[in-house]
Amino acid sequence: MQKNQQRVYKRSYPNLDSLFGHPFSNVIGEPITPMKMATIYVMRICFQIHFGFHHEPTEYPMTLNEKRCTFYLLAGLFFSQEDLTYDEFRCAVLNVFLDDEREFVTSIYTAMESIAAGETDINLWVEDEFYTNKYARPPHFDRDDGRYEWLLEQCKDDLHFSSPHSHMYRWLKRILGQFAKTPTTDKWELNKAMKRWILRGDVDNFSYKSPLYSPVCYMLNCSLRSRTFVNEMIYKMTKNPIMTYEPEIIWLIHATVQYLHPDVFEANIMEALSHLQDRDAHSTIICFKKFFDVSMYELTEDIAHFSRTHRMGVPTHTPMMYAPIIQARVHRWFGDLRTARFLLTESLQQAQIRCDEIAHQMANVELHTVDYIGGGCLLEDKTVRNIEEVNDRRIVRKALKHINDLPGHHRAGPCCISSEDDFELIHEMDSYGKMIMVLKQIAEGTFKMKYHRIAEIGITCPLETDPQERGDKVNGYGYAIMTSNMIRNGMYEHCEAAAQEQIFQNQMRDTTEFHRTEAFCVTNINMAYALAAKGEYDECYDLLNEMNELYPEDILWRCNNHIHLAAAVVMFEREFLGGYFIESQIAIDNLAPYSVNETKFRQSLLWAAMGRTRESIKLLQEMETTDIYIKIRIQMQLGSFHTYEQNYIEARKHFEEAVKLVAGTTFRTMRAMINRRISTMLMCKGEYVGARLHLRECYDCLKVDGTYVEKACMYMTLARIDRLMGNDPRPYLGQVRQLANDKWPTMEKMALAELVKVHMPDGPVPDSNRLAWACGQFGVMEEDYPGRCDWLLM
Amino acid sequence: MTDRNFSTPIDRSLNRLTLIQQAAQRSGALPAAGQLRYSKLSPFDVSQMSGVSISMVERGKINGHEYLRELEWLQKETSNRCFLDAELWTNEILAYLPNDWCNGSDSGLWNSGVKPFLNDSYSSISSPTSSAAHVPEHATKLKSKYTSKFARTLIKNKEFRRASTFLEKTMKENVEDLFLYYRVLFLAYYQEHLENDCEGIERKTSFAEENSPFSLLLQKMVNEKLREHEDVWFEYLMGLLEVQLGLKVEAEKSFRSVIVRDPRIWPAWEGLSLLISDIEDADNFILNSEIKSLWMSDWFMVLVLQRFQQHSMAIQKAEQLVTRGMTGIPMIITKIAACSNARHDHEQAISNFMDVRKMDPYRLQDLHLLSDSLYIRSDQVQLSNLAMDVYKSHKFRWETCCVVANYHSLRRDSEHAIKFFQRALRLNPGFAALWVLIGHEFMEMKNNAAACVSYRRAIEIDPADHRGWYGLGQMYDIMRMPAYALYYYQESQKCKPHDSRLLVALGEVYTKLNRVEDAEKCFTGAYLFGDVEGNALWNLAKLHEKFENHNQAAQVFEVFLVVYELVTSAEEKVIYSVAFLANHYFKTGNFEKASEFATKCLAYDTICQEGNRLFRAISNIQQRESELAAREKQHEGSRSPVSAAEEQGADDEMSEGEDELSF
Repeated sequence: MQKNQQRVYKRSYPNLDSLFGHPFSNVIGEPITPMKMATIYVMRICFQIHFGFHHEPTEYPMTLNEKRCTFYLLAGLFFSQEDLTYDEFRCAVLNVFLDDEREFVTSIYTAMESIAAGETDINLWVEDEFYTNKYARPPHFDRDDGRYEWLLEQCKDDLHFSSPHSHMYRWLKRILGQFAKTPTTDKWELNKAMKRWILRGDVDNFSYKSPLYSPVCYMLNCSLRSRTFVNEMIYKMTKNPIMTYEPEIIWLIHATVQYLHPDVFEANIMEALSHLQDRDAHSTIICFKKFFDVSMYELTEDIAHFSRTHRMGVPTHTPMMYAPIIQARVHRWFGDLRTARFLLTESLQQAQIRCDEIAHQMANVELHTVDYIGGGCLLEDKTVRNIEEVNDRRIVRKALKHINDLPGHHRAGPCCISSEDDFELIHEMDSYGKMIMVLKQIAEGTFKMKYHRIAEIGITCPLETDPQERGDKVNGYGYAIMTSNMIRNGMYEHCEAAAQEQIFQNQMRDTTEFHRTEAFCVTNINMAYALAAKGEYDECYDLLNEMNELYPEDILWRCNNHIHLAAAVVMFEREFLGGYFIESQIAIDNLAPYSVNETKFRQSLLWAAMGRTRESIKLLQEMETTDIYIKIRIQMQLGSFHTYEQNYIEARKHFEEAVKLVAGTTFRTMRAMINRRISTMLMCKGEYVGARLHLRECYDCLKVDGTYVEKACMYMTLARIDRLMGNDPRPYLGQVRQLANDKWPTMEKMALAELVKVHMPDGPVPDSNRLAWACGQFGVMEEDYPGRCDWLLM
Repeated sequence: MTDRNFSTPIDRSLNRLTLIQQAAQRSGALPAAGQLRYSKLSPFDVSQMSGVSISMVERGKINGHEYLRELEWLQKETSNRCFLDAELWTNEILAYLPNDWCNGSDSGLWNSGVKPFLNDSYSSISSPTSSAAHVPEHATKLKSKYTSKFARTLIKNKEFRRASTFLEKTMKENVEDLFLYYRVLFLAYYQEHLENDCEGIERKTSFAEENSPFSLLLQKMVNEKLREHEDVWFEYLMGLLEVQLGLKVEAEKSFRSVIVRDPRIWPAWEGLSLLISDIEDADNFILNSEIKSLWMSDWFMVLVLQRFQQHSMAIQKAEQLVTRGMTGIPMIITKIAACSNARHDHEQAISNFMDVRKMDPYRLQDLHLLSDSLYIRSDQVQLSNLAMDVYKSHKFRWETCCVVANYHSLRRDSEHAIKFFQRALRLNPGFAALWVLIGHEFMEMKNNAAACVSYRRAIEIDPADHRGWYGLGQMYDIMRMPAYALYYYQESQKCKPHDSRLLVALGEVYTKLNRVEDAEKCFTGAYLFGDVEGNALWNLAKLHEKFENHNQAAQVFEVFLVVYELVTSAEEKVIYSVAFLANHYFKTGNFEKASEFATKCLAYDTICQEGNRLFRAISNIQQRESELAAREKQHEGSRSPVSAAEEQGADDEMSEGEDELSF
């Protein structure tokens, strides 16, 4: 009796599939070649031999060893990147099955030859046994025989052929699906091609060709592979762009994929990243917009609905939530924070309308990022606004302190209900929120690390596996923040150790060599700063040169900006301390595009050293900033300038102001540095006792955590005080010489000058021999470094 | 009982048997007695067997000349009367004309008493010999001529491949057939390409091992150096092939060359109009190439101007042709109507289209634009009539589907509208405007995602069409994403820089993004470019008011009043403007103008009281001022501060009771 046909329900809504040209039909696409046809025949014959043919069960099923060999053969044929010739195919089959009583090889040859002779056409009917998920009950078993149930029990966890987890089965379904939608003319062509293949025609003719150029490579010859390839390229372009192709080739791949597989929308992201590397913001945004516009129509996940209605595509509103976020990020990177804010507000609104907590969280985090980080290399352009300033009452923003509060506080909708991936994503967003909170506190100078561990800043991924590398990504950010904060607080040794640890972790990767992301670059840069702070300029330059090669400007311009900034800072320090003002000015000019404040600081220092103290003071006084760290430094610098000018009253005022500012902060070394400057001022003024008292307060801190310049200045102050008080300053002068040796020649010269004064007849330790020696050394140094030491300005 | 009609039973049975035998003989089941089964039967015998009695007199050989003349007459008549199938039938016979009959003769069957047949013998009819030996030259030429005609008939019947096989025989004999051979191959490939394209599912994996047939054909023509052939049409055909292959630069060169060689070839002008890069280039081409074209160059410029959205100039150019003598040509009137539609002058467009429909009721070209104009004018009656007319006569044309879809859309039946737009797209998937319209319908149905993809399709097909960009921008704007929509509005405005609607939309987005200066420029520009929808000035004034630039707002409101005071549809805005201006001038102390606008307030019921209030206030102030002036004169030297303070206090008094209109 004929089964009633299952009714197909087709709703009366427009058939978007046919309207938009069935773009998702290519998702199951796999180019059909003669070798694949022959492989299916091999598979069919294997099933027939093992299970039987129609109603006739087999008498000689395959053994385990035979099945294993068959599996290897089939796997090799399925996943071969190049098509074999017919002769090679026959050899492969013969090697596996040899001369078998079951005439396996004969069956295959017969099938092939009948196609070649034109007696039959290609036939892709599928055996019933392909769909068997359990073994059939042998007919000779009794009903009460428990062996069959025992067999089923043993096999219940086996991976069967027709399982969605089986690669072979999925491959077969792709081929069958592609064949089902092959038009009649193409089926005729396929028959002809099969005949030619069997009759030893030219194999090259059977490879898949595209109208653009021939042949299309394996990785692009169907949409599944194209999508995989494009996703791999995107991964590499974000993690290690050196491992990808040149932009022209990327664009060619994009054009090919777009032409052949218009359902592979991700190609637009690939092109966008390529334009971003090229610093072409406009083209980047165009590509992202195109991606999100076409993504409004996506492949349905409801297979039941698809099977009833035969409609593969469904409209979606997800891009409306995420598109503004991505575009806002591009605007932020290129400095257009205003537009970025507008876009993120729109994304927030859409997320609230659609009750998507993930998008809501993401948009909130990005908004806070715009506020606190901006787009520059340093946290200089903080543009935070009061959260209540948002005009539209319909848009509810999350405050930073509530950014990771899932259960309460303006949650847009449910989350983490559908998959683990959502959970990890939310966790990642929370970490970003925490990091921005940390950055905010760092910028305000109120951040206090208890244990100096990455766990305090980053994420500790609670899952054992991290397939999306979320924990790894946040780990990188955490190291960058931690090392930067260490530099800010004078913890140079700690910074170097942490950076080494991070470099080691980064190199232990299989896929992409190591990651070349901005976070890793910043960590390495901080190591360079640490080396420079210790006076190891050569090692620092070597590291910067190496990094310049690892992060080239034409591809990784954002990373390269950090390198240029660091190089300019270190260059200025070295040249200024050597007394080379022209080179110092060049270094300042190099620094100018990257940081306004740092440029002004160094420019004022250089002008002061050149005698233009009034201008330098005016430059500092006109600096407007809300950053507490910069405010303190301005006061310190002004105090030093006034000390240099012997204007001690003004100097004291500035230092007192600096002391007030630093009182509410957690900076480790700032207080000590201010005290050192106060003591230097008091020393210049002649108040040696007061100077000593201040030095006592800062001695321990600067001895451990100060830069070598700061230490040298401290020891020089101590030495001079001792000398002027009639004590022997030589231990301190020794320290100065040790610190300044080969790094700060003018300071070394200064130390020698002090030594001369010590050993002079009216000095505290008169010694003519030592005096002569010191004078000789001074003379030698004077020839090479004729300038004076401007340590009072430091 | 004996049967008188028959003899004994045995006799009867014998008679029956005889009858049966005879019947069998007649039916041919059995041969006649004494005759072999397959021996020749005479016509009489045949007629006896079949039971049909006709004159089966054997006739002699057919007179070739008469045969020829007969067929030639039929060919001419069927051709003149457009019996295409009969013409094809006739020409096929002529193409296979026996060589013997290829000699021409003047004798006619019907005009003389010549026997129709060469002999009246009853010899067996056999087919004339078709030996090609010793065929005279003129016979070959004649046959070639017939073959050529047959091929042309096949072309009319759209059997291109078949035509090419016949033209292959004659192409070496004359240039026209040589050209037709290539032409017909091009048509065959194009037809196959369209047939393949119309399959529902896009085919990405195919075993197309050879190159594209278009490229093979082009290569063949290049090899035969047909570009330099004296027949210019070869080069034009090569240009068409280059267009198909996407070689736009080469195609443009080819078309230019064709025009220079022979300016009468209109298809080349038309092809060039779609490829040329800008208007100046087109103009320079015409001027510098010294092309002596009577009128085609002007029509070419009309097409180019229309393509680059310079519709006013296109209309002027078209009207010049009319004044030069080309009156009453539907093509020109339709073009003017299309340009009017693009300029939003829908009344003119409708009027022109109606004139054309009177002249040629079944002309479908650009009729979808008429339906657009009727839709915009919400003229349901006319649109309904139009839809019915076209649906009756041309059910499966994309223009018809578009008209019907617009009709359903006007009736707010979006589902049916989409269905017909879908059908139109099936018939003509490469027309950007259809994608835009279907996008609008999706927006009506709140299916934003489908609308987005539709607009995106329109943009991909024609990035220079502003409607796709505008549609996307509008969609995001409606979704309250103005910052995201900004880019699309900017792109649409780039496509059509002088369209006031686009400028107004852009200005509104800038307003939402607090970019005041940019918004101001946009609204000002929109007003200067015509302000089609009449809201540029209003938006500009509101912009200034929002950002508290009251002086500038007042200026704009004044201009608004000048332009729109008498427009009924803008009455609410006019009332608002009058009230604003009256209050503004009162606040700034310009009582003369305040009085003027207060007077205008009295003309409107809703602000009549406001006008009265202002009048009272103004008169109070003026009265106080005059009293103050008089007092000052009287008490010139002895004016006390206390009294001055009292007077000052009095100035602050306002009339009681009325609430001030707040803006």
